Amino acid sequence: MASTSRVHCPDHPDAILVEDYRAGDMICPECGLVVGDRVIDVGSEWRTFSNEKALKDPSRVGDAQNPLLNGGDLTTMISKGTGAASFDEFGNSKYQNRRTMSSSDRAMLNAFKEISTMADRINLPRNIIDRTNNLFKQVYEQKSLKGRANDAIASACLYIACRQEGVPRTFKEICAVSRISKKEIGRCFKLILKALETSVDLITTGDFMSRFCSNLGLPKQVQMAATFIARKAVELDLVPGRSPISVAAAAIYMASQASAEKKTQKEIGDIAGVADVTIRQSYRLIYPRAAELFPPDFKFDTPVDKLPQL
Amino acid sequence: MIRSRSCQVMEERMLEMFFDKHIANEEKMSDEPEGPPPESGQEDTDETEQMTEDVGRSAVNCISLDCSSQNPTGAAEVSGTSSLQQLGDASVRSDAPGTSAIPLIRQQQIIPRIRNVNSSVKLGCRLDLNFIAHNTWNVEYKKSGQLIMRIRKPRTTAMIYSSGRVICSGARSEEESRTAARRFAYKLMKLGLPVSFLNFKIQNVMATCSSFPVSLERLTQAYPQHCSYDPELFSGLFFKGIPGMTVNVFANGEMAFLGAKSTAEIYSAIDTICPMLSCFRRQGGQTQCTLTSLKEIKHK
Repeated sequence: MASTSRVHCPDHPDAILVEDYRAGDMICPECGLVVGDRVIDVGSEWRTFSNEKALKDPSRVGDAQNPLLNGGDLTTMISKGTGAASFDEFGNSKYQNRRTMSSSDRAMLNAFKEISTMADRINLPRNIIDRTNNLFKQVYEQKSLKGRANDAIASACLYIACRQEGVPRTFKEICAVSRISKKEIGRCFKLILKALETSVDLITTGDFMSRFCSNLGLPKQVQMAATFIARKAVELDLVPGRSPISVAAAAIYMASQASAEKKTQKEIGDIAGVADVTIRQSYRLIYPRAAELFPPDFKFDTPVDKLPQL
Repeated sequence: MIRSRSCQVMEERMLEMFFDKHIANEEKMSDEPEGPPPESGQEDTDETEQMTEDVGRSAVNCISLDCSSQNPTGAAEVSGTSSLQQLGDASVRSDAPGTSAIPLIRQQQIIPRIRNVNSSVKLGCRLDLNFIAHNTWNVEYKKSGQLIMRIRKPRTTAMIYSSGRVICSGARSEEESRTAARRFAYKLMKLGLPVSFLNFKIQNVMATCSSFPVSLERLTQAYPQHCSYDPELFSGLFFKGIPGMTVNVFANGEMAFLGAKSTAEIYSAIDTICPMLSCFRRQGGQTQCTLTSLKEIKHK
């Protein structure tokens, strides 16, 4: 990328130059002066070729530059020869080293592919994937978790990235898209935190509300009520020692039972990844103070005293 | 060859005394009048357990006095350690190397219950595990190189290796562990192996104790570098602030101490942790409230 610190408009030295990709020019936005020309475009190839059966790929560039790889992908490879001179007497091609990518790069690329597949299954955005890739690279270079399966480290990195971005996914959700067991992901998670010397914030009930409620098809009112109930329950310390996910599930159950969209414990348990007896236990703890837990502007379809009692 | 029962018993006792005196280096044990010393050892621990339970109940009531400010705990700590020293001087049985005196009364403090003591001892000779497996009735010989033997009196399990190393686990106190290790060595001596009792060392003491309900979330926020808490993975918090030990703290106040090398370490750990945990005390009245109201609703 051409650095704009070297070239600047003589009349407006402070103006940030605008790149015109089509012509390869750098233009001053104040006066329109073309300051630099014939700038090399490092963006992706804009020509697309529909003739996939052609043996030759007329694209002039390779993949986009991946800054995470060693050497930034600026390696040289020897391609397959075409003329007679490239074959020795036995018919084998001379120069057989077509793909000399270092093995560590290959392992990392595999892991990045795996991360991308996993993230795609649960529709994670690009920023989380990038963060996961960065974490994986840091862990991989440290070599402190060398004996562990790369997939396990990748899954744990994905979990940590989600948590760091403020949108935590439960271990069970990560398990669902990974082939690694929850136990192994948990172990790797703790090891990675120790290796990278970071820590993550505690999960709260509100982190999961929007996802669980929309998966269950509950309206916004119910979701807001459930969030309020869960937060109030934790504030009033009605559920000491319960996992935030169990409390969230119980709050969703209570909110849905009080509204027109009633969901069973089993349905909520399936979505949240908690057993329905767990929901029952947490519900029993919050039920006695149900009247205080609902938000003041909530419209009850079923009044508080008619809520199911388990 | 028919032998009378009393003759056999006599021979047994003489063998044991020989073992205790010369091999296990327990001069004090040979002064005991009748029967193997560990019985009195067990009574001791039973007594201490009963006393600890009684004092524990009153201790929990005293906790509010204790942990509200630093000064009372400071005074109690001093009194605790001085009582330890007094007991150490005055004790009859527990001067054997590697064990520490268990204070019988711990005023206004939380009393731990020791659940497991692991120890290791070298017998000083190579052992033929096959021979032992065929000549003893209560062994498992699954893995090559490792034999598992169990005894009933102090209910313990030993892993015996062919190098002569014995790892004894399952004892309820340090003295019991030592007694059990001696028992295992004695059993092997009876088979005719030239055993000695070298380098007895307590490797691990595991204890639990009960304190007041704690807010684990606030504790994690205050000490993120020492605490590891994941409610999804485990309901307890791993506190690694004390070097060489891990403490599992649960929301209802139960604590498990792992990795200590002696009982004294556990007591000092409790003295370190409890004042700190008192800052994160949970207002436990809420839980009781909901239970009674649930009962009322059911009666309606």
